[in-house]
Amino acid sequence: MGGKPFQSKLEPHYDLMRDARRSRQTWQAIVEILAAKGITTSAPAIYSFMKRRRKRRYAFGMEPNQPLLPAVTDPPAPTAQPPNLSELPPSPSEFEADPLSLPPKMKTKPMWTVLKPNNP
Amino acid sequence: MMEGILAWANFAGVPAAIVDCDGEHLTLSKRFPEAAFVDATRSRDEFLQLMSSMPDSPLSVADFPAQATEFLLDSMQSLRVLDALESNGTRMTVLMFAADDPTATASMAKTYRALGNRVDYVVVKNPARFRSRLFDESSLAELFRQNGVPVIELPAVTATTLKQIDNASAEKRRHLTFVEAVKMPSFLAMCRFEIDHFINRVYVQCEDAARVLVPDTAMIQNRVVRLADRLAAMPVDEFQPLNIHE
Repeated sequence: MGGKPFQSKLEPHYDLMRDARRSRQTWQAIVEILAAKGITTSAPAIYSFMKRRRKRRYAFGMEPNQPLLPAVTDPPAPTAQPPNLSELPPSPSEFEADPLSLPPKMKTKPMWTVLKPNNP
Repeated sequence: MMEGILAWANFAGVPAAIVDCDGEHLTLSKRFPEAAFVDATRSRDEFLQLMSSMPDSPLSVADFPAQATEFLLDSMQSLRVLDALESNGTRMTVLMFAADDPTATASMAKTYRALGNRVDYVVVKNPARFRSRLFDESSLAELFRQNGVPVIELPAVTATTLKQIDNASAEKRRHLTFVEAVKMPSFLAMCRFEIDHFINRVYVQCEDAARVLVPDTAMIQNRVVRLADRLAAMPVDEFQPLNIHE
């Protein structure tokens, strides 16, 4: 049987490190901040830890809390005046390029190569 | 053989478009690094893109894998490739490699039955791969003879010369064409002469088959100097063998 799962000593300081990065602190500056808290580490170690955290896949039910979506509000009541149709954006065309439904890009590299005769 | 046709086109001053679709051998792209490899037999979509992007060149050469015959014929039928080419004023020429193994002969038969006289043919005989007279005795060969289908017979090349080409390629760190290999200073003189003879024979036969290789033979800017075959030109009189008059 395995023992207690490994946990980095940096784990409890994740929020601190994230806030420091968001405030444009360098990795070395974060090392010094952690040193002041008695944590001995290095800049590459913090970098690797943050990178791992970004890619972390959580077990089902153990995901961190997601920020709540903004509440859906009712659309404003229609005004009495009808909108000026000429100012409305053009209706989406059936043939207009829709990035979501576009086919994969055609190969840009030419398939055929033309050999020009170089025999004098 | 594709290499021979392309070498002749270069010699004759005919621009040629090429594409390598044989992922197993990559013969064309190894010898002509400019040639792109396109996996056109992976799907009908790829094949369609390849055929529809064919440039306006007097000669276009595509090397497809032998085992893709069925796919190619099906795709050509469903996409009506020959109709599309015809509307562009393009006529396809299919190289038929004379062979005596059942798989190859079945492939030739399927090709002829599917394409019939809507395409031109060139029969290629490679002595290294074709030892029996099975093909020559077939009805298809007779049909080709009646229709005047050109035949290109590749002269046999000695193993020593082929080894020289391999060595020259190793020296240059890339697969050389015959034409490139003979220019190497390290090439043995007799091997060079053998390759010169090979190239001359291929050029002569390509020139003879030019009516199915290029739209108009007037496009040929450089004609081949035909080496006189002294033995064939002057047969020995069986009863007076020494009666020689120069």
